[in-house]
Amino acid sequence: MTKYVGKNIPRLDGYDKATGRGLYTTDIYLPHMLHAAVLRSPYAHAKVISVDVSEAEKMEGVVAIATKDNTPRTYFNATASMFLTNLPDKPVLDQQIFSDVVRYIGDEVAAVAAETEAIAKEALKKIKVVYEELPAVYNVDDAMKDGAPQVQPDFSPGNNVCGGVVKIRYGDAEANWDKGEVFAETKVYMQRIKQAQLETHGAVADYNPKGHLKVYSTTQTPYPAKMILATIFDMPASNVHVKNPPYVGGGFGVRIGLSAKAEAIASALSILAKRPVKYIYSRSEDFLTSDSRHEGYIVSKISAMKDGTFVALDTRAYMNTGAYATLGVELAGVTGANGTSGAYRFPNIHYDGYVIYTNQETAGAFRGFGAPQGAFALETCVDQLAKQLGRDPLDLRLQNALRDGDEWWFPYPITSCKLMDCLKEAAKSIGWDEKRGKKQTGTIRRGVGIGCGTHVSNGAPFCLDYNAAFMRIEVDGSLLVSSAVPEIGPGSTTGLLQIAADAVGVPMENARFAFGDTDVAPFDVGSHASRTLYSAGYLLVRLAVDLREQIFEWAGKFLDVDPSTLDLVDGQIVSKCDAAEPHIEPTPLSYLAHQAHLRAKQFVVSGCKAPTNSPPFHAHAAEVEVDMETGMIKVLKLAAAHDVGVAVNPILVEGQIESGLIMGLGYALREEMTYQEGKGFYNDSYHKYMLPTMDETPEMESIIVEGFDPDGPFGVKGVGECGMIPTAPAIVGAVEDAIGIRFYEIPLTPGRVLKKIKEVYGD
Amino acid sequence: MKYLIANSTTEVLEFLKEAGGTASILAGGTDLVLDIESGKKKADVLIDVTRIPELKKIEEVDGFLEIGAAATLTEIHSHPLVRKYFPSLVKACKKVGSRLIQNVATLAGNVITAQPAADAGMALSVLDPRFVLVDEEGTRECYVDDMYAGFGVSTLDSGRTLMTKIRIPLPKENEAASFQRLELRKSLSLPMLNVAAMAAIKEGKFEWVRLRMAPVGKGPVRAVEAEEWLVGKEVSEETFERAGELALENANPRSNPLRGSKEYREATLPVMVKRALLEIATQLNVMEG
Repeated sequence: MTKYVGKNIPRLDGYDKATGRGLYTTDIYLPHMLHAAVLRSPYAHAKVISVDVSEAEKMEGVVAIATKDNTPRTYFNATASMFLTNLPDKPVLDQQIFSDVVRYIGDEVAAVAAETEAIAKEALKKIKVVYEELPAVYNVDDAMKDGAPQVQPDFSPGNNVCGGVVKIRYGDAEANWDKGEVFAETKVYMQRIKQAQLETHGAVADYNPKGHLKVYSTTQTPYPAKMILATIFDMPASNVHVKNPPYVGGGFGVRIGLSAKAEAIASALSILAKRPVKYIYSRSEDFLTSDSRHEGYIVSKISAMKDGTFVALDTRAYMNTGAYATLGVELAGVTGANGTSGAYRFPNIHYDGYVIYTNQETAGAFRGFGAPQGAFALETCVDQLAKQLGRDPLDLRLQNALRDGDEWWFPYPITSCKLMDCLKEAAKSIGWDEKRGKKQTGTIRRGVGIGCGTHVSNGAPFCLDYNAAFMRIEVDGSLLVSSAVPEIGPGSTTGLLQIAADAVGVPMENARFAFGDTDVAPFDVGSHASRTLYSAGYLLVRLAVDLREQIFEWAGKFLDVDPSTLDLVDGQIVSKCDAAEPHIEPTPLSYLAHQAHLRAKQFVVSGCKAPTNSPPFHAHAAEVEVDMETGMIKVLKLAAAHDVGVAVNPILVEGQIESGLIMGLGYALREEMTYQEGKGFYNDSYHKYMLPTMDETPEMESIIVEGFDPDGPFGVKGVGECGMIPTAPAIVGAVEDAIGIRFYEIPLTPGRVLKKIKEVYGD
Repeated sequence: MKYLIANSTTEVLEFLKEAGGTASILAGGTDLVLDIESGKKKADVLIDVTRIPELKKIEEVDGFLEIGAAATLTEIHSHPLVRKYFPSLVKACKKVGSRLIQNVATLAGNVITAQPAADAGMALSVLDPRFVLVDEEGTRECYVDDMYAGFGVSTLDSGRTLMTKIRIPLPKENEAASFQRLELRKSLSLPMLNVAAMAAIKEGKFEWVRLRMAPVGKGPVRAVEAEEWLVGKEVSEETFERAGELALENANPRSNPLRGSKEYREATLPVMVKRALLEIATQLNVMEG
């Protein structure tokens, strides 16, 4: 029996956040602190011939100016992949703080630290830069042509392919292709979108000339950020300290590693100025100069038997990764793995992922990490196959969905799988049987659709995953857990403390979690890949065993009983239920810890573990309404059934699912970064970027399918990214059910929809 | 920059005179402050008119509803008289920005900023409003078409002239107004298109119709052809559809990277017109919605 796991414990950061006490990077003010502003390239591709800062330097209040001429030229990758890439692969290190070539509109050219932000911005106007413009390339097809402009000639000789073609082979798709009797093929195009997290990127760097660098930052991975900074500035990593303040206003993958270049630029300026420097991205900088979701297209082919059994899958993805690699290569792996080939029984799989450099804003990690693109491609093809076979799309999915005990191609087993239940529950909630396939007429037409998928509970084995932590009993008997995981919003630190309190056997009221700081705890990867609760929890339950053992050993001697007969329940040392009589009088841990202290003993453990991985599964169903005269689509309901193993804190799990649904809705219907040649992306603010608001949010039903994962701590699996993944497929499928038109391109903006309606139905 | 708080209309005029054209009147400031920050507009003096009691009034006077120029959109759309007489204005005021914006922004400001797609100004434009303006030379009344000089440019120089109130004639029993909006997001977004209409219907026929649309030109653009054609026409689906087509003759929408192409706006404008007319017919119980 658990006391905390499975309960809706109010989140520990709730009070701080609701009352405005919670500190974020932008709240940090240090004595003598300077403010930074950054000069950015107006060209999509150009050589930087010279940067003249002489006039700017003369301005009163300007303290330091960083350019390519006075900062390290070290090549790095601003994302955690720099330190998480599995051997024998090597990360692509194609970034510099400031480079001789600018590769997209917005690329960094120089930075000023001044007494105020206004002075820093004014000084930017006085920096004279001489550019030599180079030919630029903006999309995947053009970039792959012979003779195309080369975005990163040193890292993709001759073809703009970043990091080599990502390949997945399982069974033999080519040899077995013709064993199928029915063949479906679809090509889908997906747009670039932005995370639009509430807190923009930012850092306050404080360089002490004795050689110590302390950085407050919005990173979602403090340790990798520390290691990247140490490499860039050629410092011992032990002299670099990265911490969240402690809160971070959202992540969604956009700051796995550095927060764009915030930490690197603030640090470079702080080193030059020998004073603390604060650099907070404007909303426009955040939109235009940090990682986005990959746009691109995917061609999918399924070979199947007439009875619907899948024989083979062949998918090819072409992803626009923009000017720098960041996490593009790893992401293309997940697009193929989890996105296209993770949810169904495919005995034969062929996947090629092309990650292509272009002269645009970089694309990288974004909730779902390529899986939403893969799932949209595959689910479109499954619906197409269902149509060709004359089958109900739900029925065809149920026939081919993975289930417990299945073999699959991933290098770890399916530890638990309730995908069938997810499909059935989502369908039931949306009213599939009553509503699907009902002929619609008139101006407003309704339909339902469904999609499913899988994801991960951490990055392994696609990238390195492990973490280390401390756990100790304070002298008053309370529990302190120190782990460098961040709290980027989902409530991971609350969930982890629920796990720790139950695993150790102490009341949560007397327990605390120290987090988000590389000086308070040893290595942790950080928050990405839906991993935090699963991976850090994986370690904490094992540390709890060590801690209890240490307590029992000492208590046994102190109380003069056999340690193996002791238990720790709710902060009391007691005899195990099945221990031989007489049972000891319950002894409070607070008393024991104090007595231990008086005898020179503290209960403290540390440890390090690499988790396995457990796949979560999910199915979403949507009901939509289409206005035939305007092309407007209204989502009436989203039903989301998730197999996340055990929900440690169900209300927080529902929060994750619902936020994923709304994000998926934006992806399906509205959000889109629109490029204007010569100007860059149009969408530089919330005003010009159509995130859904609560007004657009439909009825949502989150269904947590009862499950238990044998490898997850207390049976948990990842959930953070899952809500994003099959939402677009469900919505697009529902639109087809409503109006008989399949869309192969998202978002379904009213203009795009109406054009198609007029093509099919006439005026 | 100086920030002056005026306590009366007379004081505003004194301040304006002193500043000699370098001042700007500030009510909600939801556009003005941003424009000053971004350098689009300049003002050495800001004159805050939000604490002048007579500018905050909303009242019924001699067959007119009078709305003080400093009344906020929230005060307007929650006012019983506005809700009673002008539901379409209530609807449109609720579409400007978000509730936070509506709590400070004003209807007068929505007209004076002269943005073509301004929802509240659009809904107002077909209600035959009179704008009461005061300057050194005295008080005068202007009509809608006197107010708009260009895209985002008002005829009113807020360095010299103060709008004190907006007077709207109360509708007769057989008159009603409507407002339709095509939108990518229900709040915090400009419309792709908006259409406002007012009409009198007698014995199943239109006596007269006022029909305006945006953003298809400068300010709220009159669909003159449709207005004229509609007079005496029977209230029916076919009539609405024909009116929608005619509205296109006065519309010249542009493409926007976000809010729809010219083609899309032209394809949907007739639909919005049709729905605006239907909304009126429904309110007057001539047709079912």
